[in-house]
Amino acid sequence: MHRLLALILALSVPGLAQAGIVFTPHLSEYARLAPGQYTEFTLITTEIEEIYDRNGRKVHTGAPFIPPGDSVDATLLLLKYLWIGNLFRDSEIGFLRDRPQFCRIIGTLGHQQATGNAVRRGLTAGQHSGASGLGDLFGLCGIYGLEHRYGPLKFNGLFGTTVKFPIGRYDTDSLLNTGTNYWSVIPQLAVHAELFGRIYLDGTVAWQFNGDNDEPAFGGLTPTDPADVRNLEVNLAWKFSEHWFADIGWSYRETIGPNRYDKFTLNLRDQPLPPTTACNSTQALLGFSIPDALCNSLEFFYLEPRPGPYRDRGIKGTLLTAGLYYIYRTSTVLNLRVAQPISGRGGQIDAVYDVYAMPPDSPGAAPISQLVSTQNAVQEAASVSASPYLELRLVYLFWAP
Amino acid sequence: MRPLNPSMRRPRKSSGYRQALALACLLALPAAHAEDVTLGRYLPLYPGLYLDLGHLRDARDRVFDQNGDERDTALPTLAGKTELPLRETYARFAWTFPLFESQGLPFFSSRLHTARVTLRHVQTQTDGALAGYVDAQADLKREGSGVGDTTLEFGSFLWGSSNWRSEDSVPGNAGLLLLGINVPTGVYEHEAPTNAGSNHWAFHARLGTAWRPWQSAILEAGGGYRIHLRNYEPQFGGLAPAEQGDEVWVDLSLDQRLRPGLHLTLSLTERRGANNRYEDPQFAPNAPEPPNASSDTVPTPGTYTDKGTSLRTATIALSGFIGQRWLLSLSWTHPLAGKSGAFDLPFTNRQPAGCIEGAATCSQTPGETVTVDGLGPARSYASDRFVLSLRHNFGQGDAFPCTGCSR
Repeated sequence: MHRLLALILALSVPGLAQAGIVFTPHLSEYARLAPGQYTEFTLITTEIEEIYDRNGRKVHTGAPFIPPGDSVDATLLLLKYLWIGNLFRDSEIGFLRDRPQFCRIIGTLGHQQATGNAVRRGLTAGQHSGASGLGDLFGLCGIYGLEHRYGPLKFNGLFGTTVKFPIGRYDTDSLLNTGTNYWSVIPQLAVHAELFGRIYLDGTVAWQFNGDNDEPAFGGLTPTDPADVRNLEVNLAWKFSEHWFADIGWSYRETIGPNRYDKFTLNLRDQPLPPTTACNSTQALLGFSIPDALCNSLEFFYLEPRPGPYRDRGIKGTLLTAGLYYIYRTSTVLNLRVAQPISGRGGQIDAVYDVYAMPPDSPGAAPISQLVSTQNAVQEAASVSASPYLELRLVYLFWAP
Repeated sequence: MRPLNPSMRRPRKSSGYRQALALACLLALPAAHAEDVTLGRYLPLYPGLYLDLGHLRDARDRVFDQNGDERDTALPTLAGKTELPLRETYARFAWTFPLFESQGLPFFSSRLHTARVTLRHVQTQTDGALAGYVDAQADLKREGSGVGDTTLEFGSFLWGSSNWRSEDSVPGNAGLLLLGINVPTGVYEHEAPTNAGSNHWAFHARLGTAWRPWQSAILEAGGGYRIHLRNYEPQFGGLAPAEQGDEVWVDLSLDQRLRPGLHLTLSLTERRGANNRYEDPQFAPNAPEPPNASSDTVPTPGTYTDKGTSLRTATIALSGFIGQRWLLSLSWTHPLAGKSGAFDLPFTNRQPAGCIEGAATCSQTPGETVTVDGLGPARSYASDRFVLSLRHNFGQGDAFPCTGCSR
């Protein structure tokens, strides 16, 4: 039985890549695996039509700047290599001699693209709305705890630490990016338990320490100081036969305090603004129009955002997942899973714009008015999807001693 | 890798086994594009994992223009010669496996199936006349190189795989239905005329059959259909299609074993693409001159279509085995005929230059119309393509003698 499960367990030790979307539970994720080398290929795809605002309400993507009907389509490919063994098996180090170690590398490829009006809105600010290519690289190592048995129950623990290397493609002039441009270090404690060889429970607590992002994207709507994040997850699986398993899971993540934004620059690309644009078209990008009294009195306008600092209210999200597993022989696992967000809170800031009648950087220029725009923060550290996603995984055991 | 499950043992190392392995290893060599023809592409493999590593080069310095005439440049509407050379390295993992054997499911349980993942790294470049135009603009880039798109495929052998457990498992004929997805993970610089990625999803279905007219030869024929989804941000100011036309292709090939372990393959392909659609182009390298020094001219917003694309190619490939698990192959593809996409783009004159629409002092009048070459998938190149590939058969990586055994 253990040998069959070895492959299932190999699915993803701390399944963490692009933490906002992948840190979710899997079947037997933290069980002690058979020593060997495993590969895994995962496809995750979603069409984000709804997001959570800062009050925890579901709103359509791009609200209130664009009408409903558009989305952000995101796809993530994960390529994982896992090694499990015991470097200290023949040593005199008692603690390590009995506890296997593991290391894992997770490479990511991604494609993210906004549609229709979301693209057009970005272009008014000189921003792109799509990104493709290499994502960040995740490396992790850890150690398994001893396995304990009490009648029909057996369980073990696990400790691991993941480091996210921000090597992914990152364009500061883009609504979306496949890379994050900041480091993360994520220690975690986990437990795996089996009951009667039929019921499998996995759970973990993880703390994600985030570094700073000195070059925010999309006009500063990604945090320059992403808050740390705590994660909780639990997964319950049922074994139908040697070939078939099903599971359900729950995961929760929440920032510790707010995200900070202090390089906000989002602005209309083409300036000065003629009155027709200033009175009407600013609504699409900035959510406000220059008051009629001003529009009727001047020929041109300039807008200049204040860089901040701004803070959101922090983000959080809760997911439910359900998956089905098929095991072919002992070398291949196919897994299909869906995830449904059930609650959340996204990042928003109240950005201040100064209105000028002459170029803001010209001598003697002074703002003639101030307007406030509530902007949705973007990308992984600040935006929370309210739309489901689909995950398809293929695990292959290359070699085992 | 010793097969430990007695019921899953491999064929003996006889001449039949060698032949089976040969066919298996030859299956699906370089497959950077679905219409590529490779020997054994419609024959079932013995279950296991196969890895293809390949490198292709294409100078992309010649095209078939919108009239089907071969031109000595990649962009016929732009004065001077333009080259968009391409170098691609790919790795493809291909699994062949039975599925739901013990469940007795109709169709699935009695056949072999295949799953394939193709990863790419693409290096592109812009040289010549277009490079001069790009360098003169502040916001444009010459190319977007890096990770390419990812192809995912799943297929079932409709016939010819039911006796794969038997000793002599080389089928006399076989058929494959393959469904695939292009995942646009490739690097896509919106400001560049050539990119590693496509920035849009595509789905294809491919159906083909293989037949052995005599013992040392394989004749294969098939075809496919590909649907392209929308590209929401087409490259280079919208000169690539926002919606690529659907494609249909057919292929035919004959492989002859010249001597044990050495194969020669001759192939023909024909691909046709429906009209491509372009939306709101932002500029054109061959834009007309503005009427006077104080005005400028910009493309008139709108939706435009070309008249579709096509390409007919011939390929010759030589493949040789290096031991039992390695296969080295070199192929040369020569385009025979084709057609690229181009469309007529009207311009609008603005007075004064750079004025914003809606401003009281901005006047706009109709300008000239020029023919513009479509970029990206709208190009049908007339240049030769060379592919060097190496295949390794990992076999079946089972770690344990049977499923459900106790440790």
